Amino acid sequence: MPSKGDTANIFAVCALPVFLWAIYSYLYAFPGYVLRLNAWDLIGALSYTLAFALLESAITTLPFVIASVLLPPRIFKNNIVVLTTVIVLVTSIWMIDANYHQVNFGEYEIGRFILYVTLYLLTVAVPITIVIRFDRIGRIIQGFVGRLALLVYVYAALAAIAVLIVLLRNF
Amino acid sequence: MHRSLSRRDFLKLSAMLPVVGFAPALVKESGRFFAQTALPNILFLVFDTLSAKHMSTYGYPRATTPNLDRFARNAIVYHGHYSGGSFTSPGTAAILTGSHVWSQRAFNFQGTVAPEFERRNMFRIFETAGYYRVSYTHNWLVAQLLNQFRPDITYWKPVRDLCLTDTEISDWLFPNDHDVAFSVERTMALHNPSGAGSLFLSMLDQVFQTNNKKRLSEKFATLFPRGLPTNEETTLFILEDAIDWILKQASQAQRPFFGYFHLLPPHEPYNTRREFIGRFDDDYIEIPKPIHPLSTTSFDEPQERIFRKHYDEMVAYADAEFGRLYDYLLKQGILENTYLIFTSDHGQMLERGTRGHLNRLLYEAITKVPLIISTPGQKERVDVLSPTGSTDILPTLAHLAGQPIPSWCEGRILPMLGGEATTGRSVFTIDAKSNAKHSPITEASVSMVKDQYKLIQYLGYGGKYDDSSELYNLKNDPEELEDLSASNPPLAADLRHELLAKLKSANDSYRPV
Repeated sequence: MPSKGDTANIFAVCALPVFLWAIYSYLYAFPGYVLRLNAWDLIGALSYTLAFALLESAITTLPFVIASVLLPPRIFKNNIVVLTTVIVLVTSIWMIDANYHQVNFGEYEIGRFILYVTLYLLTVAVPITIVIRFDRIGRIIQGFVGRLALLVYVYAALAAIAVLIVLLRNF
Repeated sequence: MHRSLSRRDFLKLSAMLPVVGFAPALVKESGRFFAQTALPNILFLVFDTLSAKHMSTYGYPRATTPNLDRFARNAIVYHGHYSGGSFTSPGTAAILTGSHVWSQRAFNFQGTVAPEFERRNMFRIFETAGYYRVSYTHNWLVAQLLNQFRPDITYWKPVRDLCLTDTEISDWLFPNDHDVAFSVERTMALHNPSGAGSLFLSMLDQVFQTNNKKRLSEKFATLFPRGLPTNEETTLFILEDAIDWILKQASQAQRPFFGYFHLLPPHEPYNTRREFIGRFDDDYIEIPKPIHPLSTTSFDEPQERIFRKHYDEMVAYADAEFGRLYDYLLKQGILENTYLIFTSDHGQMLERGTRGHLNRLLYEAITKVPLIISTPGQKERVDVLSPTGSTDILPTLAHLAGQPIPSWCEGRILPMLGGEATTGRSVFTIDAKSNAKHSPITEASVSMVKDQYKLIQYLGYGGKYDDSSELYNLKNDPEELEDLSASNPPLAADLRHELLAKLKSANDSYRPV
């Protein structure tokens, strides 16, 4: 099981792209929202968005935590946070592109889907290899994540307020 | 000989006392019971996006609505009936509140009525009259409105119950804040057909929904070769399920009942049932019309012809299912004590380079909708030619239910159902989707039909359409080809003055709560 600090760092890494994209989604929809929602409803819409982002961050964190428990530690070479960072950031770039271009994997034929996944795995494998080979890069990433983790407290606070607002609006 | 009261007699009489005591209440309740069972049922059926122009009942050359034609033979047919808005939210809100869009404020996409209108709705009127009120819709935008009126509906069947897929979570997770929760869900959370979704889960959800859609489409491929009818691409349904359920309600619901059923066909996509595909492979060609500068699409005539054909096929399918419902109601004798109301919330543009109804144009294709009403036991057709509007339905139903017409209602009782056919009355349709809900309306298309004239006023769109009008004589020019605003400026000016005064009055008097 990763340490509390590592788990928090993994969560921070997963939450960063999710929350940033959630804010983007909210701002994308904002012109439509503002036409018909009052101020409290706009806050409500943001709260649902952030509350969902919290859930999505937790769901995204889970596979990495589970993997670190189930898989032998030597696979991660004590670099669970660094490796997670690489995987999450590369995957996020792919997902941002997919969202932006309205890609629907459900409509992909099996050949096209395999090609997509192969390309994706290559773009993950290359930086992972670099990170494992060059410790310095790993340390830089670790430092970045360490600072990023401070933002977790901001996410957590915003998300907690969002959840409270959702509860208040419904009960 | 004087007979004294025995102890037995006394006890018998004493047992009668409670009955005597309760008798007045019993008489009153039984009177109310019989009065209620004597009240007519009201079955209100809306087919979404049905243009009167595409119905053979209203003279369309293609035989798209033979069953509605049969219905019309024993009904009142309103030939000049206009929707309150150009798409679902304002059009439906006008029906359900009997109020213009500029009053109830549901003019945005996904719009809901202003708070003060949440208790000003058709269901509430029937609640007061003691009716059992039941409702169902396929359409999420209608569901947003019905959710506002939920406290006044006895039983509102969830959208998912008569659909093959279940894609919404906000209605069961956040029923007390459905409007906002659903907006977020639709726009961002899981299944947004365009624009941003959530970063990871929306992609997974999309895969799941797409595969589910493929599986169901394959299962029903024989019946629906083009794919299943759908609401927003993910909620799949077959119309037959909803009609079957309505049949059941009509026969089993507590009497008297008021049923409001808003079904999606013939809304696009035009995934019609097999036997209707190719039905209109004919030589029929509509009168060509110029592409309007405000058109947001640019389909050429051959493309429009294909869309029109597919739309007509969908209309025919919807009509066939109406026929099934109508035959059942006739056979069971339900129509002997039921008003059957058939209408639509808005029409559909398939001309002037435009396909759809989320645009700024207010020609007859989109504003003129069917309204056909049969009274209990009606055996003859009656035609009403004077203009009527969606806002007229609520006061008419209130009148039929023996209830007073609410003071906030802006419609009138329909002719032949207690109202008079009058000349000089103005009927409005509005598109104002780009305005803020709680601000004055400054950017809009407004159509006003007065006798045989129709003025379409454009406001706030910039350039020529910042403030311009078109005037048509619908009697001489039903296809709206000859703009009379230049050749008859006094008439155009009069009508424009009236329309703008009405809008100004609405803007001045609106105060958000």
